[in-house]
Amino acid sequence: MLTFLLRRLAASLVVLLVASYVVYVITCFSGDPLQDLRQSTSPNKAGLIAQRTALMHLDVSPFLRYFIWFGGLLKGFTGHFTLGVTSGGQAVTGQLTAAVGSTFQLVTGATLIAIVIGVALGVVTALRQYTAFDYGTTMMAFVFFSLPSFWLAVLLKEYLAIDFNNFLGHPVVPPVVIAIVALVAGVVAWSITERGRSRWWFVGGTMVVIAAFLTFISLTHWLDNPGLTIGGVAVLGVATAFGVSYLTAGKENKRSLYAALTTALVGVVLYYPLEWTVFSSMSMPLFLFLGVVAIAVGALVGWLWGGPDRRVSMRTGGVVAFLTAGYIAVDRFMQDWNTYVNSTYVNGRPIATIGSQTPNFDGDFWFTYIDRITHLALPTISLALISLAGYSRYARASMLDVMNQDYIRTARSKGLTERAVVMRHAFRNALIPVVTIVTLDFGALISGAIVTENVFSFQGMGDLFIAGVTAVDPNTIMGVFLVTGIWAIAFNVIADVLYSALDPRIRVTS
Amino acid sequence: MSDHDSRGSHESNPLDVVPMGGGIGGGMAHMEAAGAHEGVENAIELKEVEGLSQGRIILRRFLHHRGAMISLIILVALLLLAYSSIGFKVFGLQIPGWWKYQYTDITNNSNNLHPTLSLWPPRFGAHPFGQDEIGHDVFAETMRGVQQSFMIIVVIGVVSTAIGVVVGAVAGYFGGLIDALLMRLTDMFIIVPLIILAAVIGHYAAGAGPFVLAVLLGVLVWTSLARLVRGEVLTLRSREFVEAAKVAGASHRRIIFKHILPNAAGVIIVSMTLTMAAAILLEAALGYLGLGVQLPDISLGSLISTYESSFGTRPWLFWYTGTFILVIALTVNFIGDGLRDAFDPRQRRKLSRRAKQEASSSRPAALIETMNKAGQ
Amino acid sequence: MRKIMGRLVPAVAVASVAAVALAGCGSKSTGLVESSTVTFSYNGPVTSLWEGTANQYSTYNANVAALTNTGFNYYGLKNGTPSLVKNTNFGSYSEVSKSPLTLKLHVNKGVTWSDGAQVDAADILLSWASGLSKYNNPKGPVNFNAVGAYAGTGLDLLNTPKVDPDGLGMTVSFKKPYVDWEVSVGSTVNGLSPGLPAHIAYELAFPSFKGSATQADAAVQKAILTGDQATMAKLGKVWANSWNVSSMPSDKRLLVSDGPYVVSGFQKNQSISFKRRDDFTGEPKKPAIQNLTLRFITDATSQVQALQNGEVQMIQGQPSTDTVAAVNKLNNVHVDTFAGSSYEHVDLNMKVGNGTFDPATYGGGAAGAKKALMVRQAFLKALPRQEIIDKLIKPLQPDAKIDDSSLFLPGTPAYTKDVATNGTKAYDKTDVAGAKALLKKAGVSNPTVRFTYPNDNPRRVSEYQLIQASEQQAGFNIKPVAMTTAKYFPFLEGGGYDASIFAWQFTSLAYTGNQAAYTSTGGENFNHYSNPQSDKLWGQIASSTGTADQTNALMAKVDKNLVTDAATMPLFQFPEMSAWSTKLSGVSDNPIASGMNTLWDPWDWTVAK
Repeated sequence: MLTFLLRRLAASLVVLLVASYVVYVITCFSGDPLQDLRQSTSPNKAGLIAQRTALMHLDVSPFLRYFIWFGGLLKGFTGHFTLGVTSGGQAVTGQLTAAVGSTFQLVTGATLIAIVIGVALGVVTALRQYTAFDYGTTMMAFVFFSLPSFWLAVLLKEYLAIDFNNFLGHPVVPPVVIAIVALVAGVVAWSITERGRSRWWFVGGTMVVIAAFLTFISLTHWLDNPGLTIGGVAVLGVATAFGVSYLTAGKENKRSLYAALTTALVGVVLYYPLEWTVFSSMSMPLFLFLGVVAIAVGALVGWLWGGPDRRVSMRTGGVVAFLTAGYIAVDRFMQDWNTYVNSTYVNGRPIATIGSQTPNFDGDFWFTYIDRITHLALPTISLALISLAGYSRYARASMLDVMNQDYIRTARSKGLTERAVVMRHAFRNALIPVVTIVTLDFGALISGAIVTENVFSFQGMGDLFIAGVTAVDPNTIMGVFLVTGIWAIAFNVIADVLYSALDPRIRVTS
Repeated sequence: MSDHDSRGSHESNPLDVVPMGGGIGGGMAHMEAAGAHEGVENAIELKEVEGLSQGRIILRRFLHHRGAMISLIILVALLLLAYSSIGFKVFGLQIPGWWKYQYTDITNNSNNLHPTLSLWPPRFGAHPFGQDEIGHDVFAETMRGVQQSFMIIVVIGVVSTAIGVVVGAVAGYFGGLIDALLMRLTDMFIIVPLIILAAVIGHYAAGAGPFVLAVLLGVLVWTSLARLVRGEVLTLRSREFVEAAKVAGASHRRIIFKHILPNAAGVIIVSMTLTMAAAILLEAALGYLGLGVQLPDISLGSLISTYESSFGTRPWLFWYTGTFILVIALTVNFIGDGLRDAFDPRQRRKLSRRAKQEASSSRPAALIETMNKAGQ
Repeated sequence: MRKIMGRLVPAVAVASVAAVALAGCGSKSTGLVESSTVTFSYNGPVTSLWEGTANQYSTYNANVAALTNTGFNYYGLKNGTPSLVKNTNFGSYSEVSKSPLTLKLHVNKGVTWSDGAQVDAADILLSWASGLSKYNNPKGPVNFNAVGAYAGTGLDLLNTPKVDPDGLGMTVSFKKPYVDWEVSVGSTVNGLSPGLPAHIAYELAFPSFKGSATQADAAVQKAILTGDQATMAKLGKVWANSWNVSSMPSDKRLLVSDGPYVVSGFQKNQSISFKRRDDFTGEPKKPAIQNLTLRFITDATSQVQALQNGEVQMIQGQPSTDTVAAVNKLNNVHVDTFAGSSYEHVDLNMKVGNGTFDPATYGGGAAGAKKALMVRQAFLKALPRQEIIDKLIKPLQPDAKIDDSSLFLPGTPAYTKDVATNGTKAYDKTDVAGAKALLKKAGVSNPTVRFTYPNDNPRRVSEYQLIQASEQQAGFNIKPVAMTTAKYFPFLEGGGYDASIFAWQFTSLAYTGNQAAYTSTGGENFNHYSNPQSDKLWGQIASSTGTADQTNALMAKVDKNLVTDAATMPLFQFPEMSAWSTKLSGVSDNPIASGMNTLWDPWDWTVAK
């Protein structure tokens, strides 16, 4: 395995090296780096051209100029690593760091959302193949997949930002809208359930819950000053406990359910103590640490409850703990919402259409991240919609494939419940290829969000890259190329390892 | 490198799950396992297709795929409209169409540039899709766009498939050093940003026109297909019929083209349609970045990027083009989906649970066989 | 199992009650520090705190200079047209003698940098020295890498300045008359107004230096006046590189400003923020608005939507018909469309192999020249100038008019005078019949014109299409030579076309701004226009010592020659648009501003609560 990995890595590096030469040379030939100076009316035109020629080594043939750049890489061994300077005379490394950070912010959230929703949709459509829901989802997936992304972005800004902000000024949902939304939810609920008496209960229940929720929001102006309060956290926590326990352990496993409920209760108990201890001095590392602690506590509770399969209980506890902690965090963010919305920074229009944050924003952890989230919302949704369309198709195909495997038939025939078959046998195996695709896709997204970045003024790798192409600036392009190339290689190897680790049938060759 | 091409050109198509990474063989065995041992559902379905050849079965499945058939009809109708309306050129010969304007004509302002098309009362009018500010007829422009975009995606599909099939088949069949070299070459193509190549093409071949652009794009986006085909060939080359052909003394070329590739036809055709569906978006994205088809020639991609900002103010410049892009992308995707289902016997119509129960109770033998198989 | 539950449930219940009870103790203070700012956006990112270097001179970086630099004069608006305004709160200057041209400059006492240091002669000297061609050699020891290096003209030929005893002013004398001296006096980028603070530059160049700002200034002054190569080399390096940062620098000395604002925040590729200087004494008054933020939004639709969503209060960028229409639809937004300082024109190539407009094609000599002239005139007659304005420009700028002068900015009095005599008016109306007649007279039938244009600019493509349709009627056979902008200018230099379309931009009111495009040997004379009389006139203009009116009269003669020779034809000025929330008042557009057109007078802005 190790030799395989090393060989693979070595081969990839050679590919990267050769490709870097190719990219460098073709970049040099892709345009005229002096173009903007040629149309200059400056009396000093010749001088300007001489300056740039000296800066970018334009007097050296591109075939050799590469080695000037490459020499900068090699200087890394003597501690003078450099990727050269841009045509603007600034270090490429500095430009890259900023761009990578910005793109990473954008892509991570979008990918996570796309995976969760996409896989869920894919699995459900596979289980309900050729139903109205399947056709409807397929249609929507293709529409989003086929929609040019700048178009999608413009639409999102129009409706989810500008119109939604208008709506927030007076957050009352008209009864007609409530009725329509409830009806749509009912249709969706109908289409994903199987025939039988429970179906109508489910459909009716969904419609009532949705309608009640919207009416509640509308009557109390909840969106003006949202919040879950400890009661909301408790209700959600208990509901989550039941749901997660059912999905991961099944109805019969009471220990798992108790573990889940206990975990949820622990969360509720900690609601106020957290509020006036750590929450006031929150920071990102602490926030993440608390998330990990929550999972550990949940797992511990699960371990204490034990049950037929201790690991199942632990897993249930961990998931419930994580989600409950999430509710508490969401609630904490909601407490600051009203102040944020009415602050001078946003003047009642919280959902932003451009940038990654309000310039010069000065607030604590909670405010800062409300600001980040309101800025990230649209680009994230935009990217997520596009990728989740693809993921749902992958997941559906993969799930269909697995559901027709012999071992699923076997599992069914030995009398396992459908839930156990789907969750324990099918889902996990169906996930293998999806995981592979997602890792590779994530790599592609890093450099692949040019249009989205541009439309949302979210200058990242894509934007830097385009700037490099426009200025015919090989150093900038090589910087981006190195990052994406190494990234792609890393994920390719990870995908290989994952794949052969998860599926022993795969031969490891070459 | 853009949103679109990252969707379009990377590893695989969203509708086709295959293992990836240069070092991994395998892949979904599409054509195999239609045999009786597959189980109850198959047994039921097999009855429907008894006595039909493989090709007929696939055709039959495809014709029964409602989404694909509707899409095919819409697409054909759309192409008929596009080619008959403004006519087209074959070998320098201009075939006239029934529409009165060409996309290059500058017409007089009528109806304040707004579209004259109306569904009720049904009326086509002088400029059904309106005009742009200097008087181009948007209907003629859109039709030209459809023609060019369709030409581009077909060329991209054909070129990329041809290269992908050859590279993939040779790599998978011969293995060893050839395989390693070809796969590293594939990696190279994946790793080199498409947009740079597009910029180079734009710099040197801008005057060469959309056909050259399409060919060059095709030369760049074959990688996923090559990997797919390679995986497929890897599983097929150790099958009995290939061994048999080898023993019989068939040449490598014959084995690859006569014995192996026909069995991988499903993957190839499906992948090709999906590449085409992605290509229209790639073309649109390149247009947005100013690297696509250059004015005054037009494609749907260049049209929509030119009129991107007309969204709220002159919607007719944007919506018709956008709708046509969407329709082409959707129909091609659905056709690909239908083809996939037709070629893959496991993606059959879902049987209701009751039918399954009835079937299993009436055929216990098949069930036992299934269990045996799983136990091995 | 039940047993465990029995124990646990009460425990949990007790804990919950306790938690709820304790909750009363907690009190929450808000973690938000409010501050209000006026936010405006432009279509590109600021990439450097200093615009003066060759590789960072852009309209984007000019926005920083507009707020953080002041000088002896600036471009203000007089009756809506740009003109130089003396900044008397900053200092004074005067022309002491015309021959040799001698100027006296003096900065007012109490005019300071934002760190409290007095602005003085050293700052002026550094600005001047940075542009000297001897200090701008990329291969030499001293390289300021300045964008405005003088290269043999103007300020390069200055005698060593004499600094006043108080160190705040100087007397400079020119070796050669220099008509645009007043423009140079006000220029903060390689001119005679301060650009970067000399004392900071010195401190950065000599990190071990521990003296006061005055001592640093004295050292800079000495180095420049004595031509100390070693010191100049170090200063040059700092001048060219230290301010070249694209995010908030850790060294706050780089933020020192002598303008009304000082940079207070710089987020790479996102925004740059400015805080008002409360000790500012420059022209003409302290601004009313405390904080300004410039956000970088490249996409035009995004700008409009950001304005609509209240994220920015003012936008400016390259307008299209649609962005103008979209902005016009918004409530509570003031839209200003105006003619910018770039003008589009058609050039006819007079020296190219097989050229339709080249006298050589018709056998050369006087007869050939006459024939070629008639063909050129015919071509210009058939240009659909009004149609282009009506169809392409008026939707953006309803009051757009044909531009009739290649040398003057429309709206100025000099333009009006020039247009009255230059003869362009004769070409205002498209005259297809006249063009046909002229062609017939010249005895040329269906001449082929290789018309080149950049095809990645939709407006230029439309212009081409309209021109092509009209010229075709007149009997010209138009052959398009289309390419991307990236390839366009090298192509224009190289030749291989008969007619071209592109724009020049006025970035100042300097007389010699267009010289290079319209002299026989000029670097921008792509179409090989040559008129010996004009060349002589340019020489007179550059060293003119007369009044503005006299110099303008010389310019008008050059323009008349251009029209008579039918070498080029202006079409229109680029339409520009600014839009701002009606909460803002006092905003106006200055077409000649080098950055955002509204940014020339932030001190006039007020914001309604």
